Amino acid sequence: MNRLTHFAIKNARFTWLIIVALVLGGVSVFLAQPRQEDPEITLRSAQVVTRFPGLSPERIEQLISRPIEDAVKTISEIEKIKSISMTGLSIVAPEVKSQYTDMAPIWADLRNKMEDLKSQLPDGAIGPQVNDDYGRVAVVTLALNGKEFSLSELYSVSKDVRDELNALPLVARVDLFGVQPERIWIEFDPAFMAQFGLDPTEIVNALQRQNVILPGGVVEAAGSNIVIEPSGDFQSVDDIRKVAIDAGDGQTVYLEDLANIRRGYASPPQAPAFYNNQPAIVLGVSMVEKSNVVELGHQVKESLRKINLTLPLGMNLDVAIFQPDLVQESVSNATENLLQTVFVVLVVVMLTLGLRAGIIVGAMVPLTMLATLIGMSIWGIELHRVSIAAIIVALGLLVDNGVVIAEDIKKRFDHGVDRLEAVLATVNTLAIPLLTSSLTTVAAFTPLMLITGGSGEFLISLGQVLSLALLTSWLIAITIVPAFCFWFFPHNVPQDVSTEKNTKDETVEYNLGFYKVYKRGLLFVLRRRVLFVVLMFALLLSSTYVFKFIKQRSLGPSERNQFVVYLDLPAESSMTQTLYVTNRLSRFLIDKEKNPEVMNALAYVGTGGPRFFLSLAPNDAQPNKAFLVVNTERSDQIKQVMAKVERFIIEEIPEASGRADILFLGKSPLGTLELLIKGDDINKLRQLASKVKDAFYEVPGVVSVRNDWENAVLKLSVDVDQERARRAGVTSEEISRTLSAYFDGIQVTTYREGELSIPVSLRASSESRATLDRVRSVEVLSTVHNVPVPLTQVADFYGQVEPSKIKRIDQVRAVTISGKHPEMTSLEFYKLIKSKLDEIQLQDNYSLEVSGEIKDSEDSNKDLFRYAPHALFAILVLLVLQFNSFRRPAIILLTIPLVLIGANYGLLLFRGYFDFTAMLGLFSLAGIIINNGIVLIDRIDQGRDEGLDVDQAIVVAAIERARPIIMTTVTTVVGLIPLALFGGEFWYGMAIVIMCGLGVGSVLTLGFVPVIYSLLFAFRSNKNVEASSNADSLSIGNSV
Amino acid sequence: MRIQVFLIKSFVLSVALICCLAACQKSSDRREEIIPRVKVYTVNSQATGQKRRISGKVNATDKSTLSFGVSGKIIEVLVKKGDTVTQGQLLAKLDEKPFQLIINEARAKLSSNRAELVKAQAAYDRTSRLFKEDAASKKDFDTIIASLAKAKGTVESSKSTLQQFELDFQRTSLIAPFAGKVVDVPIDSFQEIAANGEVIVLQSNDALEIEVRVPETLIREIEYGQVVEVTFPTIKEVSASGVVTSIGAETESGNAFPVVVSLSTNPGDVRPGMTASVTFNFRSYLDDRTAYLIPLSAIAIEAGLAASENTTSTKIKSKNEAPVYVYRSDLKIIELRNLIVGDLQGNEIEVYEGLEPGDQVVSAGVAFLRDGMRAEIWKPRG
Repeated sequence: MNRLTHFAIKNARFTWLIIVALVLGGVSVFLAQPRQEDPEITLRSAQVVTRFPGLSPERIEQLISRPIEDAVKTISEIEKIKSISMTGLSIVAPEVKSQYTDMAPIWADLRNKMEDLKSQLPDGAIGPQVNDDYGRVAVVTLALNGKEFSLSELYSVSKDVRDELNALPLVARVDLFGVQPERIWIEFDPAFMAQFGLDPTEIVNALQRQNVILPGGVVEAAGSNIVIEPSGDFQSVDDIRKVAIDAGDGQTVYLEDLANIRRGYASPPQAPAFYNNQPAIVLGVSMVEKSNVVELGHQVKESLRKINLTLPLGMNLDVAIFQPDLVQESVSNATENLLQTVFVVLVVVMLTLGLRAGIIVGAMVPLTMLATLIGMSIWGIELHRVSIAAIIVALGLLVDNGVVIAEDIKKRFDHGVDRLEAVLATVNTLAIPLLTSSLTTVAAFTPLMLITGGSGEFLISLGQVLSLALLTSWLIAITIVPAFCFWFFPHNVPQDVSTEKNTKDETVEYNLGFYKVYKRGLLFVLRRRVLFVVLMFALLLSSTYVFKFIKQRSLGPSERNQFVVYLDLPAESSMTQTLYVTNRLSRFLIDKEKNPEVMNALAYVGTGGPRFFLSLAPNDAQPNKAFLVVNTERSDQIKQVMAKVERFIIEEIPEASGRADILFLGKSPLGTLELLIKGDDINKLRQLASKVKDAFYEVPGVVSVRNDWENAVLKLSVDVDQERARRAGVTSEEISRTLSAYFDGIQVTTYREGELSIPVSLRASSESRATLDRVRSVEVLSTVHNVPVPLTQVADFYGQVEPSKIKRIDQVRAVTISGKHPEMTSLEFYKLIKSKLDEIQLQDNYSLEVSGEIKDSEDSNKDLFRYAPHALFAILVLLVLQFNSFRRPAIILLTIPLVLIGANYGLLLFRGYFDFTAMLGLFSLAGIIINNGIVLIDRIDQGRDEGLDVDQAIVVAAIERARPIIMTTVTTVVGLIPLALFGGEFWYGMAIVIMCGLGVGSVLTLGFVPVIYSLLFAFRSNKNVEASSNADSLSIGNSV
Repeated sequence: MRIQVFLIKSFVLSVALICCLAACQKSSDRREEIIPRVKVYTVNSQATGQKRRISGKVNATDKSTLSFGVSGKIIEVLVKKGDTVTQGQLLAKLDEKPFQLIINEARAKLSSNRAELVKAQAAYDRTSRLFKEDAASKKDFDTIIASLAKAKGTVESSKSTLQQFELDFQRTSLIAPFAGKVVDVPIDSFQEIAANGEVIVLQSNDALEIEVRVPETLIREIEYGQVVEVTFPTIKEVSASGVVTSIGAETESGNAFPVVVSLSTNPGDVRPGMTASVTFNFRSYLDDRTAYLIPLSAIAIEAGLAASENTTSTKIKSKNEAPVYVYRSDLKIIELRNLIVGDLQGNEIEVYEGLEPGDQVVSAGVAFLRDGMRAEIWKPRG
């Protein structure tokens, strides 16, 4: 092993070349590395959308959703099938099992199956259409608005902006939101029309037959081809007005005399968007995969500067959300953290080892970092939240190897050993144990790297980066560090070789206050070995008890300075009502007096807008829902603004229920308890849902309790009496067509203007549509008798209650009840109401289970622990390989539980949450803490090899190895302080767990390992222990 | 060495301090309970019965097709379409000459017959004297008597024939029987027209009526003399009241009964031929109950369903129960209450039982409410 070292020292120039190459390579890689906010996760779900206007939710479920679900089930890669059936719409969302990463063949299979299914769906169904592309994240959200401009003007400008941005090399796509399609409305008074003996059909026919562009043929005249074009198609809105309708008796009447013709927009509005309460067109810009989002940010900013110069006065293109800035900030935060950590580590090392050693070991840090960066680039790991945190955690760890090596070399130098010999000897003794400890740490992280699915993809870089860092640090520790020590350590005047003096110096050195205390403590503990073990065990038990008081959650929230607001109106609410309500909320939000912290607010009514945050799926596209994104100046202001918003909704918006949520990483909202009720009968489900809601309300202070099926709605059934209809001479078809033309409007033809195609729609005038009552007065033209027949003559009316939507999970109807409590975690809340929930009687085939955040935690923990036994086994193998013994690995593995003591008490003391990252911290600790044990036991064995008896060897080894163990612990702990203080909520739990777990654990290890070793290997009584402890003779110079 | 130790110790201490500070930063915030505000509707408006609108066409009450009583050739048409005429005005004339000739002939005939009569009378007188002196036979006397009678009869007959022809002559002038407007003149001058052929269509402007077709489901509710409201789709601001003056006994085309509504007043711009919308008001089903109106959005469907354990039928017919949330200002809570409701009126629903004027019913966001919830009234600001 020391041949490598020898090589490095001998070929000094070569070594220097490598070092320079590392530095240059690392820096250039860093600058060019792709960076984004979060790791890319393959979205494993798609949507199958089918429409059948007018069909009730139950019929949609029976006729469309269920057949689609059955067809989807036959695809073996599908894990879960969710579906929603609403009036006229069916959405089936299959999710793929987590082990698959290539989605393309699965979606192709899905498309084929849907194509085959088409013939089995009822006639008139539009679809099924497979949509697998909604996982695109908009990294930049822009809002084009202008008070004095109409939406169609904004739309035409937005198209130019879109083209401009699409031309940028890093931009993948630009989507537009809030576009209102134009319409030409022909609004008639039905009574008037009926008296004329005119049916909407006749107007439709007249318009359609005139507005044609059909070729008129070609005349070949004297050798030239001359094209004939008959006119007729509408060139202007006036042409539509002047269309002549045959009213019978040879009379013609113009359309403008029958109806009001105007140019407007789709009514009701289609998914309007607002920026600071102004109607706007929102542009969502998404990035080409695996590129540098900061670079994209620069390009977009440059492009925006140019675009802004071309915009008409009064029109603004505002930047609402700009991810590149956030990423830039987090990367620079991380770099700051890094520098802070490097500085702190340097200080620690210098304090303990002296200036030179400190600098040498300190130099190792950037070298390892740069080498790791190069490794990351080769392995294809981008810079994002997770890889940056991994680098920070690695910082504290990678120093360890160098510290141990440098410390040992220094000791040998201090004892006057020949420099080259000393260096090689150190490497010889320590290289393998250090490799073992590095490998065991890597092994502890392997379960992480083997998790499948979204969470696996999210966290895999953690394990990858740490492995890279540890292995490169080992390499550098056995090549460059010894070389530096060899070249740069001061040449000591060789000490007097006499053993006595040496011993005295040794004793002097080791008789420092700290060592004295330690030695005394160690001897004390060795005399009461069993008691000590019992004490450790008691501490461990107490820490597991203390765990009860620690708050748990799945993952920390995002650190962005933005939050989202969901506004839900009752299921039957119209878009106009939702718009009105959203407008009030928007006005409140941008009121500078009431909310000075708010910078801007985006509102989407009837859609969820673009996906601007990877794990936040866009809101449902329903007319009764609105979704707002609010940006504040700083992220610490979010909590108070959210509270104000929720208060405003409760007090000032009686028509709706709403909630404000912080952005969360993970599948389910944080702090929200979700319960799932599965069953068959809708009424029974409704009753169960009501009972569950009651259980929620038992806890005072609960907010935002909701049922994801929303409320039942009233439907107006027009029951056509076929007998009366026949006598009157009208048919069901005529009735439906008239009703639909009356209220909804029917599209008659298309008006072409330039590149626009504007649909022309026929509808009753707004006064005629105003009340529910009017339905009875609708008159249908009887083509048989040529008289208008009021609907009451041929039909009866009654109201019918039906669910507004039906949701299914895995082919069973399922209702989700959710709610949250601002002062409790979801788990605490669940425990509070569990007894009430158990009281609810469930019949067979009905079930009540927990889902949402709690289930996600369970699932991700399960994933994590799936490979834990494998990792443990790998560690065991490595240890046995290292020591060729079973007792020694046993001792080392026994030290692992000790980390829990520090971790649990630490979380309690520093008020951290036990979340998924904390769990990860525990896993990493397992790998780190055993390093101490390895180093200690190795030295003990060495001592015994030299002839010392067990207890002597123990004491000697402990004292000798105390300093490096403490140093490595301190560097790791101190290296994580910046992460704990400034790394944000996401990493807080992990930082605390590692810091406290390692800190306390290492101290305990210094006592525990000697004690257990002594228990397992020694047969001495106590007095011999005392006697031998005085002989602190160490013959280090003879070790080979 | 001492300094080193001191430095290490102070370093560790400061680190510990920083961690403590970090822990202290996380303080929990208390939340006060926020009382939601609800939008309420104060009950006051009463249901005035159901309204049904049916459309029909406006006709003039008096509308006649005028014709000459006789055939002839039209020699003069004095009016045209759209003219206003007064009662007694001459409208058209037939060629008089043929009729005059016939009259002359009849007069001549009459004179001749009169002469015959004189002759017969003289013969009678002579024969009568002779018979008295037994100079003439009975047979001759009887013959003379008969001749006299016949001559008398002939004279009468010619007289009446002459009268008839004189009447015919009068009929060659077409006079307006009432004041009004000429709607149609479907003839041309010098056209031969048969008797009773349509010559001029005249309608009076003053009285207007509307004929509507009322479906059999509503016909029973309609009474003679019922007052209705009439609006005109093409004349926005005008509305008038009318009275039902005729109810058909049998259905016409489209299985509906023809009902005629006379307009009490002519609101100026209305002309026959226009479309009219008649609104019938039905009150009888109310009997003597007072029904109040509340917005449809106040009905808490979800609450009603959850409350009932056994909902097999989901149809809500008239005169059914419906739950609403009532705001109790004394207790400052909302209360679920079951009402007996009726039919729809506009966008409101009739309530028969369960509400009093002044009650405050929650009219928005009812899907999110709970029985017994604390609440306050929402007052919209600006």
